[in-house]
Amino acid sequence: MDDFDLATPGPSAAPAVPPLTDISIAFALLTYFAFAVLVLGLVIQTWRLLREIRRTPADPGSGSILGRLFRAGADVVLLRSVFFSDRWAWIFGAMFHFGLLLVLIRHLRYFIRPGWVGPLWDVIVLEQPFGFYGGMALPFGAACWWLRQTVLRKSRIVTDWADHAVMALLVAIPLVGYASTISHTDVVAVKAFAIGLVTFHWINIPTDPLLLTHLWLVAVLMVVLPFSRLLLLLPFGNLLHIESAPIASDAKRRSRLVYAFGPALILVLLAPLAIVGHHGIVHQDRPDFASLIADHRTDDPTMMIRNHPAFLFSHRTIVTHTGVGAPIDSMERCVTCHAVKNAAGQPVGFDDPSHFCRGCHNTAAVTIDCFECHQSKPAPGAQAALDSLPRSAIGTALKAERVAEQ
Amino acid sequence: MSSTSRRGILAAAAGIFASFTLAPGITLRAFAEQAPAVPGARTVRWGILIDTTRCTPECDACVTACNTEFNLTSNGRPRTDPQWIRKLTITDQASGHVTSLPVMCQHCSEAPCVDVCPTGASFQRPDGIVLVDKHICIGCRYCIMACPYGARNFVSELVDNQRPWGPRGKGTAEACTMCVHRVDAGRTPACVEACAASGNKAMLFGDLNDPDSEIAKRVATFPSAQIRADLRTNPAVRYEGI
Repeated sequence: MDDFDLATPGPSAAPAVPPLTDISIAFALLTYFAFAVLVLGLVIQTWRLLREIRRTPADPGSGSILGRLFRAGADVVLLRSVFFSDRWAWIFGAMFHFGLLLVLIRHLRYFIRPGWVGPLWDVIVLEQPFGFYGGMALPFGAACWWLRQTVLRKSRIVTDWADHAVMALLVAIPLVGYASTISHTDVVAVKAFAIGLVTFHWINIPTDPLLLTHLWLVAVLMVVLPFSRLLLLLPFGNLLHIESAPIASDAKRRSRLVYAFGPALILVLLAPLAIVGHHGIVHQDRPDFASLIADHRTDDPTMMIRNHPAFLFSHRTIVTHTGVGAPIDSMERCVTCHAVKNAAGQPVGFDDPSHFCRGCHNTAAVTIDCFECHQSKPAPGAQAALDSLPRSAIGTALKAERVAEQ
Repeated sequence: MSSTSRRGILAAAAGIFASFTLAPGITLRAFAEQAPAVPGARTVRWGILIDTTRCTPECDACVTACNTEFNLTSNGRPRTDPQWIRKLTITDQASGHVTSLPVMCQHCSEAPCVDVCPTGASFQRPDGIVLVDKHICIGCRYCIMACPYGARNFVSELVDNQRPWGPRGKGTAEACTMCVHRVDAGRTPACVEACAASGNKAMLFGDLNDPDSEIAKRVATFPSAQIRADLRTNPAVRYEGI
């Protein structure tokens, strides 16, 4: 299920893809740049690791290559040697690494269309709540490990500016990410932007300040990480029980790199901020609920995408406990107006992939439990009364835009 | 609208951070202020008076109407099939007199199901109707055990084709809602309507607290009883002739 229907069926307008904004272009370029720096850094470090492995003989008595690979794998995956050397470091490290793994899997939903991975998509959908809670372990583990490193000075892993910057970013990025969850970012638009990056068909980025901060910090992290010792692959040579050559010169090499590229890096990283500061960000306030009931086709078509859970959740409590406005303002009204008809002209239920709510929620990998209890189809006869209503021009344009993105 | 300006002042004072973190709560509060207090007025207490002398053992119009109203269908397993209203037949062993009466949620003012609910899902509306907020029901079934009238059901199987006005789902407790969607719209419950249509006219729906209502006058004039009155649950469903 790849496509989704945002607007009620009506006269189809020509697909109107809005022009790219400067902020979108800046963030797209920044993301490509940061990704390139990260990949390049990893490639260089892998090459250096392989060179060391080839150059130095294995320790005598360290067993076969398979056994060494297995032990190294256990070390990398389960942090085995840390477990036996420093228990607290292992606890925080495991929290951070497994939290990060869950978070990364959760974020796959932004970069993958359901149709690309087939049944694996259901795994990503299923993983979402795990990723949500794993994301809490991530900054906690990172912050505690960072504190232990700096305050207790257990080891000298975190030393220079790049290391501290990486740790600060690892703590800050999840926190900003959670904050953007609370501010109800339009995840559908975020996904459109991310898919645009993956497929090289750029789409405008939603200008939610917290989202922009989140993405910008991630880009900074990707650029800084290769300069930090925290992503140094050379120690992995030790895991394979290979006497690696002294890496004392490494620090000097890194500092030369930083001095050479530092100013340019800072300029590139600050560019999106300058553009954002120049154009400003429109903070979209929550609209009044009463006007929403009357007509939610406001000037901001993403308003309902961002806020419909809040409206539904506050409304449901009021309606359930006091009964106010039960028939007209209920979910019955939502599913009636937004009904999608099948080939036979009948409104489809939630069991149909083209159901209005299901398509979008599946695309965004957001679970929806409403229709475990609620009826997902309009009551017989209700649709006929609504068919006479004029169609929303904004809804039709929005639908065309979404279809163009797919 | 005054609430809009109030909300605006609130939002301005709280700043951007607060608007991110507190906005759902503000929306909820502003919404609650707007809510008209029509059905929730404390003076109303909806009740049903059932004249068992007019209720015949062979008639099940009320049960059928309830099943139709909420699309309560059988899964072929009577022990777990949904049943919001049931007909009881009582035979006096000494005289042989047969009494038939429908029993549904009695909408007690001191409802045991509300007392035992650990999440607050089982609640009583200000107008006396006892409901389950299925959004927060965890399906623990305490209310089913606590109800002296056996009125609460547990939804054991997946539900399909719910009525738009009657959300039902597997894993939650449910019971007669006194057709709250009809009552709020100014109509009478489906069972009462069906009973009148059947010609027996054994059921009377109205506001027990309104002295001018027919039900209040009948209750004041003729003797009526609450089932298990000794439990002092004070049901809103009363019976004549038992």
